Amino acid sequence: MTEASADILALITTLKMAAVTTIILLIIGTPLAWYLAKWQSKKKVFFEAIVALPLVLPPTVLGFYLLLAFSPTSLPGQIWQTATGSQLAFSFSAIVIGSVLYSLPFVVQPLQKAFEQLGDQQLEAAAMLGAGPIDRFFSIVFPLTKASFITATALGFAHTVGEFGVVLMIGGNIPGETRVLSIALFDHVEAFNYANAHLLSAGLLIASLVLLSLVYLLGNNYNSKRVKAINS
Amino acid sequence: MQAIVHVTLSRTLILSSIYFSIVLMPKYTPKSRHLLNVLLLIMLALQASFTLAFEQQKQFKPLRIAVAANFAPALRILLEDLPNKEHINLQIISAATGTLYQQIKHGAPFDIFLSADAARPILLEQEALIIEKSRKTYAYGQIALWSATQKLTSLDVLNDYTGNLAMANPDIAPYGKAAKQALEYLSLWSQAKFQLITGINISQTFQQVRSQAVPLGIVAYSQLKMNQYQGLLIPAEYYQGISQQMVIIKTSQQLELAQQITDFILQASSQDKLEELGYLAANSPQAIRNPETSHD
Amino acid sequence: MNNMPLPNKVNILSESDNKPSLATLKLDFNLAFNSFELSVKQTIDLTAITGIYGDSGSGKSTLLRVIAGLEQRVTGNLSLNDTVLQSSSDKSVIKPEKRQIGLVFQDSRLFEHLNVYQNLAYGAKRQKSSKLNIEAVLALTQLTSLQHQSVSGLSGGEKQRVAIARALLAEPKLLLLDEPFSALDKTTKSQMLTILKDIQRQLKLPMLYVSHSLSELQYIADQLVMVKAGELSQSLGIHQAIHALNSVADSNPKTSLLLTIAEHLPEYGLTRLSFGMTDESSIYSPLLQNSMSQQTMVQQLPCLIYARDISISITKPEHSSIVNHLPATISKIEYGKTSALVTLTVNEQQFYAQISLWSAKRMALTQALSVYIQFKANAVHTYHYKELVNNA
Repeated sequence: MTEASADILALITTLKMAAVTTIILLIIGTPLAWYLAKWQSKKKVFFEAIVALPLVLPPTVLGFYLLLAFSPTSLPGQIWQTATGSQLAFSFSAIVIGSVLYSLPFVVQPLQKAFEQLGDQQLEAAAMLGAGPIDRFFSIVFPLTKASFITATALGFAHTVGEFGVVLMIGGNIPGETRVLSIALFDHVEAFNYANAHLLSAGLLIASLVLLSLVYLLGNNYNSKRVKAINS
Repeated sequence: MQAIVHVTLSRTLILSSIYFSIVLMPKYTPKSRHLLNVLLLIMLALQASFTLAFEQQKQFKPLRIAVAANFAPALRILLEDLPNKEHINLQIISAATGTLYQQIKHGAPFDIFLSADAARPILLEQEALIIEKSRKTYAYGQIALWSATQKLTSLDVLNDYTGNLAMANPDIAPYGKAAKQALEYLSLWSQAKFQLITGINISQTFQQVRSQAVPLGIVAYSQLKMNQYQGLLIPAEYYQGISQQMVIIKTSQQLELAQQITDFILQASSQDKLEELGYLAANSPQAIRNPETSHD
Repeated sequence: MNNMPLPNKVNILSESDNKPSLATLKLDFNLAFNSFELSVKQTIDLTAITGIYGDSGSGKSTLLRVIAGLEQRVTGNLSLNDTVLQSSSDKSVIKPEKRQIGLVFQDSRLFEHLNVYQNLAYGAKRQKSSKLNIEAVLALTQLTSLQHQSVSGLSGGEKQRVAIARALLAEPKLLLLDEPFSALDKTTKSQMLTILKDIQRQLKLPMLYVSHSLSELQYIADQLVMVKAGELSQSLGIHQAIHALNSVADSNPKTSLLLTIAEHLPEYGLTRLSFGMTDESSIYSPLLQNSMSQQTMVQQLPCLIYARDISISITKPEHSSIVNHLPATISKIEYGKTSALVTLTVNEQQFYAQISLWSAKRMALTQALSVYIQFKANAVHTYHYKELVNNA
């Protein structure tokens, strides 16, 4: 395989990892953010701290502990192996799980803030009109916090694309499986392949810039529509 | 094979359509919906090309060589001369020696491990994670004094030097330990006239000197050779040889092929090439006088 | 917006004081807060519109939230007609969305991401049987021309009309209104109260209307429940309830009465109101209708006259600019520190007059004395919606 096709493979692996991670993050992050926003107990602070932990923990440290957990000799690793028949560590699933944990605060925090700001007023009004809890979420909460969902999606995706430490540790840099762009970039630098490194980082930079601009464009469109509606 | 590809493809298709339906569900302006459609198309195109690459690559079961990051370029050069290489699906996986060691300990699917030191291969041997008697020194690293800003003529430049000096951390990096030994040999270590800038590994030290952030540093001689820089080779008798060892991992499914490759690395033509790249051959007289258990 | 014509009113044949009960609400619950406890054990027969009156912080809004099911810490039993809403015996609680009770909030709480029509459809879509259709309710609440607008651009009165329309379309068996018009100016408020009364008449929907404004309740409600420090009073007919609140210590004693519009006199700027079909005496109020073309209808009108605006004369005041003077008999005199509150009877209707102690003494007022009461047309207050002259 040539260097270029290896990089394209790494790009595809990265996008795939980021997309799958973002979907999983939205699915588990939304209810988590909801409960954190609505929970009135003092214990809540502790769980908020846990969610925020990846922000302070060095990624290689998180990666190291995940490596211990995912190893075929550990309990979680064994359970996975029994359930799926394949090893967890150094697999695509492993880097997705690692990224989900690592990017969790980037999805949960903006959603939690949005849910807190939304308050109960609109939801009570919807309940009085006959809407049940799930119905209320999709008919009221989601449309009113759409901008925050866009932010959470963008941050979750972008942060996963840029991730290095966790993936390096638990992925094992295996082409087509766990070799992602950030690691390929690191390899190029290590191997004095500065031309390729520049190309790849420029590519990563432009792709991220385009993606984030696109997402913020959508967010702005939506917001300006709301502002226009309010001012009219 | 085809079935796996289809499963992968359809799974990703479903996931991406869920993802985009979440974003698309609300009514956007037609323009932004158009942008999203373009994004979806790009995703699908990437997925298709991925499937293609996936197919090409899985023709042979890969043989995975885990290699210390700073030896990876040299290894690639060596392997260009590997006989029959078109029929071997080689995957070179590079990372820091310490990272690779941890990964092997936790079941990483590697076949061969080329370490930047002797310590980790010895540990793996003690942990019975390698094929017996597969641990061998494949080269000795050498160190050199280098500046990216001035041409050096003699090691005497160190005697009057009072600025920053870059070197790898002597406590964790083999090249750093060798640099410390050389400075001790020159009776410069205890005086500490200069400010030491220590990198976590020799690559970082090389980057620091190369970027001219640090005017002077002790780097690997191979790094200079590989990038065609001129530096002062520090004589091998000033420090214990930096023994770089390789092992075949016990879980390897392709022992014969792995053996073939380690033999290839040790064969005379390969060793000659390594000498050209700034290493000392595994059987070189200068190095042999140093015991290979120089890791402690 | 204010010059939008009211829909043609349904002719009301007669409105007796004893309205039939439309629903029965049984309350027996307890809800404790840190510094406050709402404890209610009462059965309320809901007639057309039951007013709930109390100061802020008395617990009247909380009462509505309990009935709606929005307060989760309530213990006790609640039922509406035969439907048990909450039962302490089997710990069952019907969720708010299943109670078929509507609630109009003070702050309207419209859904900003939906336009007027979509806000209305939100409630309608979630009902199994829809007897009302959206177009009819749009017309009833005078929103037809606004249906495609974004709700964030609406005025306060328009927002509350959308909130009411939205609640109606969810087809509740009981509609709760929590100070729905308290943020509106008087003209808009008059219009809204008139519309709400009309809706109630047409749909025969029982309503609980919470307010801290007695004059607003006097116009809209036919019975009144008072909430004080977490406790409820028995319900009384609206006029009786307001008169029961009168005392010499009260700063604003008032006369509450139901009059019938007899005729509009635009040339004099007055409207003549009568006590009833059989009674000849009249009360004149400022002109209640500007549009000449609109046909005069038999319409009953709750009116409020403050006791401080009524004066007493021993002789018939024939040479006065004051238009209203009626023969009355003094039934009670209460003396306060600075004034006296005189209760008088005019054809079985009670009136209250607040006069200075000096006047009471000088005129030698005594019980059973026949006197005349007089008050200006402007002293007759009502929320009757007076359309503005078409200036479009």
